[in-house]
Amino acid sequence: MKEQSRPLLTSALAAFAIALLCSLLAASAVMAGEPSPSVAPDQVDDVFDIANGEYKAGNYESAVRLYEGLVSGSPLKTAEMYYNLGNAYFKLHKLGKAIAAYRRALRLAPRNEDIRANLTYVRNNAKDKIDRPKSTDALHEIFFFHYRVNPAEAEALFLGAYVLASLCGSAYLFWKRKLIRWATGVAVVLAVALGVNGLIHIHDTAHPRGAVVIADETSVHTGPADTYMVSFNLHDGTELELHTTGAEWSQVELADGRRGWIRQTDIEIVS
Amino acid sequence: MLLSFHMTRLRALFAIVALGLFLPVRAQADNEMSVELDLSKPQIALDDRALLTVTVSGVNAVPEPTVPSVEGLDILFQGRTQSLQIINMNMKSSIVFRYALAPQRTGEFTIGPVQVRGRQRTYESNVVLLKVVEAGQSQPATPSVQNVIVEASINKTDPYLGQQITLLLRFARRPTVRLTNAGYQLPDLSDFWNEGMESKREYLQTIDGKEYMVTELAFPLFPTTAGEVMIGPITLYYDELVPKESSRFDSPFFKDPFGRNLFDDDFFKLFSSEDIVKRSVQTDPVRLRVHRLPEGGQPEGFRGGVGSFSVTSRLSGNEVKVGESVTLTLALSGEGNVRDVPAPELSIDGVKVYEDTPSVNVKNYNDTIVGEKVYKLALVPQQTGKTVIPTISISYFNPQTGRYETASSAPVSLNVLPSENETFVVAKPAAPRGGGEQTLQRKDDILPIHERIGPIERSRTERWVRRLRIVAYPLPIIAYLFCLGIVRHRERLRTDIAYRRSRTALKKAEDHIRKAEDAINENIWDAAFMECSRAVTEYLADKLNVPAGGLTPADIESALSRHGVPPNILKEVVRFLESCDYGRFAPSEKAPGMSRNYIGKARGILEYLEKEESITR
Repeated sequence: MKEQSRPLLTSALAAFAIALLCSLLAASAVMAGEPSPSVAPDQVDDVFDIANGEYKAGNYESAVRLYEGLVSGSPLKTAEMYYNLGNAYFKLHKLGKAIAAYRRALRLAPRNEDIRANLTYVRNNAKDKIDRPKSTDALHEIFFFHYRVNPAEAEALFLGAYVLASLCGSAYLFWKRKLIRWATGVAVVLAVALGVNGLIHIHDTAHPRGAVVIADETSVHTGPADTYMVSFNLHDGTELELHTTGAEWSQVELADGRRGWIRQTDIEIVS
Repeated sequence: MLLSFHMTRLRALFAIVALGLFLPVRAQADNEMSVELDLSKPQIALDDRALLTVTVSGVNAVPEPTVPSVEGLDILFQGRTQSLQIINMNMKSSIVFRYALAPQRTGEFTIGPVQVRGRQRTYESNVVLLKVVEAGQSQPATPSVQNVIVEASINKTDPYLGQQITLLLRFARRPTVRLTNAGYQLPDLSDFWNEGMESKREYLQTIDGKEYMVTELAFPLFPTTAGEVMIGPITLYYDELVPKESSRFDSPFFKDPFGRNLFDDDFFKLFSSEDIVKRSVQTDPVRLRVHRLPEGGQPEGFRGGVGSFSVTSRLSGNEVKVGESVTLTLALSGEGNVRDVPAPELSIDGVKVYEDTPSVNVKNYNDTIVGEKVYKLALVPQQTGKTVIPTISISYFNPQTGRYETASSAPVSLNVLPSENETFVVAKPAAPRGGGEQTLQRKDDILPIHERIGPIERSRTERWVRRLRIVAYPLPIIAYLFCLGIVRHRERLRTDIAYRRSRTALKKAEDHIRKAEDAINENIWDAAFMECSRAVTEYLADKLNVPAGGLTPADIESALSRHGVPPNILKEVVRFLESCDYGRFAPSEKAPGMSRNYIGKARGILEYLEKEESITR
């Protein structure tokens, strides 16, 4: 009796874990909501074409305005919009804005090599060269999967694994086959891993920690006011990590470990 | 040993007598009171201090005396002490008030008279004169000053501009001299760069046959002005603890046969008092001649730096991809003011160089300033292949050899790999020839914009997925839990007899009723009654998980009452079962009608019992 009830208990626990993840994911997704569009979906293509025309004609400021209108007003934000916006900013020598746009594009299309190439190019043009800690690269290697899918893909993959785990689990209830048990175990592990991955994506979207300097030059102070001593100066395009965000000042950390407070108007927050 | 024992007893006796003599002093009259003013020295320098004492004799309690203020002289109260003297077997108490006199200008000052209020009248003291002369002219009159020697010197009187010299301050004092609160004030050193890293050492030294405790302070300095430079006098301040000049136990009366004072003991020192004399002494100024660096033989790249330095360079990695950065650490180190050494210029073909603010670490190593200046340069290669970071040289003037020298780092090679993200754009030739073959060009600008919004359809799908979330998330888990419920139900049916009997009780009862109907159709009336009775009896046996065989109406009544079935229902069930037995064993003409009626009754009872939670639970 006990031996027979153990698989049932295990299955119930696995089901509970997945159900918990589902609840978290669903709640987060519902809370995220959808923005109210100001550009009608059928106008998106037209506006995009006009913006591209302005870009090709060298009217980069006009192109930036149109692309910004698309990404802020359209319900369908695509990587192409942010990518082209990044290009237009780069042509205006606004490296920080360009990097922010490319990073948003990369978040939507993380496997797009064009975006990566342009982002690398613009980063190389930034004045401040800061060594990334080796641990960061190692994290990207280990959790490559997280960095190669966008939030929507992460959710879809989780849903797939979740449905598969439910099906396999249900089948195993009726047919106690070894193969089905293994399949259930694998599917549950996969669903949990993908669920955690999805939650991290949702958390990153809701609480972005990245930032880019968008001012030509700005000072990083030892405290949240101009009266504090200047620790070091940063230039347009330097990427930072946010730690604390106050009313006017944010505490930031560079990849090399240096910390300080920077005026919020001099940075743009990106996830 | 015997002598020591007697001495100890004698000292103890004196202590007891001395303590006992305090008591009668309280009764001393006011008419024995006197006030005396005294100066520690009649002449002092402007930067020196004198001690003024006001001795009030003949009383053991008076308020603080009123010392008249003197223009150009700061009078600072230093404290009070009380003492008891025995003169010709008469006891005399006195209170001493001490004041430090700090002159503000030169001249002669008259201090006093000081007024002290007694019980009956106010007493006045004598007047003392103090002469204040310019600093450095004060006569070393007091023997205590002779016990202290202060001098300043430098290790090199003709240094080069930027060469390190060491200013040495030596402060020697006799071990018997008791000093506290010693401090110094450096002169104006604006002609020097001072790292503020002085070193200190202490040792014993014999000077003119006398032993001195020497404190030596070494200040490393770097001259920044050429020509005749003077380091002004260094002023040393300290407080000296001076025993009272006329000790009450100095009389020959208190000497032992060997000439030793009977009170020269730690115990009696508790009763002695000391004055604190504030003193200051100055060193002579030190002169040096600072030479300019020789112009002859000055290398072309020389931009400053005096000392002896070396250069090392190190890369954070030997391989780097195009567009990525590698850190070149350039360390300049050696003796001298490393801060003065300018940053070396570095230019490498095909590599962008980004400088950072250098970090400087300076230490005082055996009175020699050694330091390290570290530059972190970010190198971003722009092309693949092997790149050599060339020899990096700095020129400096070595004052030890009197020549300009050059320190160089070893060349470092860097292997530049193609970038992982380096993209090649497909460029159409301007004038396609021979089929318009496309060529690959290395990217040297950002890639062009995207003409079409490709994944917009996918975005629409995502919107649908978002709307289906409300179903997509709960449905699979609900389905799983449903299956789990089914399996658990089956499992229980298989393993739990009571549960199985309870769940199948109604079905079995309906089977019996169906058989009863069949019996009626076949006119077998006793069988019909029996099936009706079995339907209810076995239903209750299954529900209550008791054996059905031998279950009498009385047993059923008892069991049902235990389960809290209402009495009217109990009676109904028992009456029904008894009627069935009657119909079964005593058939009558009414049996056909009765049996049909009893099938309805059996259904009614079962229906009711099925709703009764106490049974079905």
